[in-house]
Amino acid sequence: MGFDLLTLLRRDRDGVQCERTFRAVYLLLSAWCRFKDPQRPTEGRGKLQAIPFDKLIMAFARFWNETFRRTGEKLKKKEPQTITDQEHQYAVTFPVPFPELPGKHGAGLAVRHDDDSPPEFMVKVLYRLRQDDILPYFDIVPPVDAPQEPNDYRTTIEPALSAAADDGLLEDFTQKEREVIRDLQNAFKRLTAEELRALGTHENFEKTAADIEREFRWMQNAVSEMHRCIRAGMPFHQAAQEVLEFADEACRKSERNRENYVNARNRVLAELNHADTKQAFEDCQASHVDIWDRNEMKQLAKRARCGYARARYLERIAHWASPAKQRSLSRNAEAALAEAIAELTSAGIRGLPESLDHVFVGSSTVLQEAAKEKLLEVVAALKIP
Amino acid sequence: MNATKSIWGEPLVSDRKGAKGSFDCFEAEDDSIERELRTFLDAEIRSWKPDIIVVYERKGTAILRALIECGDTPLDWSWAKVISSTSLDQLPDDALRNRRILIFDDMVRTGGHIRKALEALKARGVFDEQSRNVRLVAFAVHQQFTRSSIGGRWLDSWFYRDLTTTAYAKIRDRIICLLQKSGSLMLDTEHIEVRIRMREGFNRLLTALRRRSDPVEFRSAGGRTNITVFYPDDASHKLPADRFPENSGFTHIVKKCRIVERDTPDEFAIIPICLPAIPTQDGSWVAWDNDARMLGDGITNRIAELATFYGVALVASLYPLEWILKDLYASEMEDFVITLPSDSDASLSRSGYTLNHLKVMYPSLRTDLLTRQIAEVEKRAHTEGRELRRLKHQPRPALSFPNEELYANAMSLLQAIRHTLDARKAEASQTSSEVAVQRCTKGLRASQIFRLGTEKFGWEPPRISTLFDILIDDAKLVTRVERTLDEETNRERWTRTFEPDGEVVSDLVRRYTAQWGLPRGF
Repeated sequence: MGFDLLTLLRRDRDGVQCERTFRAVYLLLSAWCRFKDPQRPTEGRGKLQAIPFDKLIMAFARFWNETFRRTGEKLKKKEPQTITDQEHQYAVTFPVPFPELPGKHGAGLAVRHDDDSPPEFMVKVLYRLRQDDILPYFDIVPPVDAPQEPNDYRTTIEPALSAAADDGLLEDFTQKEREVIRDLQNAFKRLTAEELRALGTHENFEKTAADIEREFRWMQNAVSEMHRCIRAGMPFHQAAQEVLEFADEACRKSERNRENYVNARNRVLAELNHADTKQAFEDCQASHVDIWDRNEMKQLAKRARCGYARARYLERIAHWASPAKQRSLSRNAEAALAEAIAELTSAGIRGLPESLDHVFVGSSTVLQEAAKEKLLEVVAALKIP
Repeated sequence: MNATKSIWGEPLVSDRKGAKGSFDCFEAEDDSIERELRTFLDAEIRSWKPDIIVVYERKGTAILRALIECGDTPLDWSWAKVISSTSLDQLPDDALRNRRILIFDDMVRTGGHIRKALEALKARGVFDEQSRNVRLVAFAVHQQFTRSSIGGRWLDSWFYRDLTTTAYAKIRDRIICLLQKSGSLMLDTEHIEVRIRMREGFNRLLTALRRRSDPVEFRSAGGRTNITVFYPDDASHKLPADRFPENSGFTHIVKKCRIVERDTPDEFAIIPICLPAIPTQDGSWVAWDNDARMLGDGITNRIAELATFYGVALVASLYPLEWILKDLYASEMEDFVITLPSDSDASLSRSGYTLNHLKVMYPSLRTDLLTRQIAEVEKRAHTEGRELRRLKHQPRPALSFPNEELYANAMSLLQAIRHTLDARKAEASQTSSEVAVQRCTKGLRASQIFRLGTEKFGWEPPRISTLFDILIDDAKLVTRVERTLDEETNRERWTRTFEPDGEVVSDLVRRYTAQWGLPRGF
């Protein structure tokens, strides 16, 4: 016995999977964008920004794949023509066909091209399909100042079809699949964008920890760049902003997302109508206790807080180290630095210059030597050994 | 099928194995592939008259070995005139200059392997454009290749060309089936082999092996009984550091014996495998005298990049050999016979086999000295094993898994490996972070795969070790030697890594994952 991979594959299945996945995602987006919850303040409903949309897809895929494992997967060994109507109707018949790959600030579903090219994540894929008139479901609008960048976080996504089309889009799905989609529509529409984002971002402790480590890893390029620029006496704001972005995300994942995740998970569980789907959801989305209450996560959170505090301090210094800035004209310069110092103190980090006058030479953007050395120490603390 | 049920799709290829089940080798097609391969290579040898054939490791050498040593009409070619592409750099320039060199690859898709071998020869100045002393041949060529060339040069000969992806995969499967029927691992030119014939029955063998290890049995696609004998990193299975390059890594490495059923009834081949990770820098290896004499200058002086790695592996494999022989001799089994290899063709009649095929991978190897070392190991194991008979022991619990379960596990592991590598490459492509790039080897180390198996699937290490063997036997997994960074010591080492075998297997695995999902637990 060996395994002949060719005989394990099915002709054209992938194409059908892709199309139905996009339809299911559209239905969830449609429900969310059109929902008018009188109890919650509107957040620009009608559109969803790129990051929460991406996480909506992640949360959907996770749940959908879990229900596939419990139902349709056992039919994969059967010859297709021997699958009965009943078996078919009571199954989620396919997993989401896109792999989960690491992206900036977390994993996302993507299309892989080859080893050397970066993967293409869902927002860009859907944008391209829309531009090519292949998939008409989504209106994807990049920001005005970056019209060719659908991956920009400010990109918005909204349903391109009218609500009347929704029921028709459920055609060809099985009874079980419609049940799951309707349950999810009903649950997800009640979540805020931030809650969607948290639900899609987090799955269990292991993946959250790996994601946090990845943030530290991905920031290293920018950390090295900062080190080089500071040593050379050059502006370093862009690198500092990038480091701050990664550090902020590490903090979000290690503690700040918790509340939104708890709210989202509880709300979805309350809204799911069927016991088996509730169980599937519980199994594929770990509890907040499992994700955040372990000692290992607390250590990561501490590391993230320290990293964030350092990154924020460096960013504030970098902001005023840019030649165009005239800090003498700004009332907020020292106040912003004071806030950063307070964060450092909370994280137990002391001994850094607390005033811009102790950082720069006079009113110039040249760093004092002693301050430069201190900054380099702060940068070094952000490096992975 | 109606539109609703179209999601299930039709099988991509029909189940050509019929009642036998979808995974057994199909005899008629394998016979014809063997004839085709033999015809192709025979024609090349007769018409072009090469001095040397360069084969691409591992399938290339396995094909050649199957054609030379098996079948009714063996290919008329000597091992002395075959060199693995991996070991080309061990041959001096004089051995290649002005020679007619045939570079043979069984399957060509992008031409990467052939291109690499040709460039190596050009760089050494042994490739003569005028006399065209190098000939490039491939048995089966993907349509993707025919639209490109190898540095301005096309293939000189082929048997199949313009193959679609499905047709290419089918031919590949037929070749794998042929190799599996011929003994697969036994066609390796990288590992030593010692034969054992038993008269007491297979279960007694397993009991003997369970003295200090956890043997796992499986049946290969070629229908042969295999046993994987995994050795853990414990006090009984340590290697002496002073015999190997300083700062080598001996833990979490491949350290096992494979036992493979031969064609003769009740006869098995014991194939010990041990692959320490060696430093990429730190100067020459000061080998023990008998090892240095056995391996030859090329390996111990490090003139060839990977020669030392493979030389160390050859020496290291003597230890699992000693362990397994000791366990066998310590058992109550009386009726088994260990047959050691002969040290030359002249004395072939004594044992029926030699280790001359190893010179494909180790061109400077003294096979006579190797067989002498093997004999010393056997003698020592015999003496110590018999002493151990006086000690009572309790065999370790038997680990037994249905073949179908092992193959299902192997598929899951293959998916997990492919997905992990894709995730790593996706990360590296999006960041030029030094840390990410350092982590991005082409394959995974044994320790990483073991960690996947234990953490994600809850499997025991002996089972995981067996899954390696199933995947390699089935040509789903290919091995490399790569520079890796040891995270604990921060040392760079040459390490054995594993990855799905080529774009054919990788694409099929990815497609399978897309259609049916990643395995539970992953």
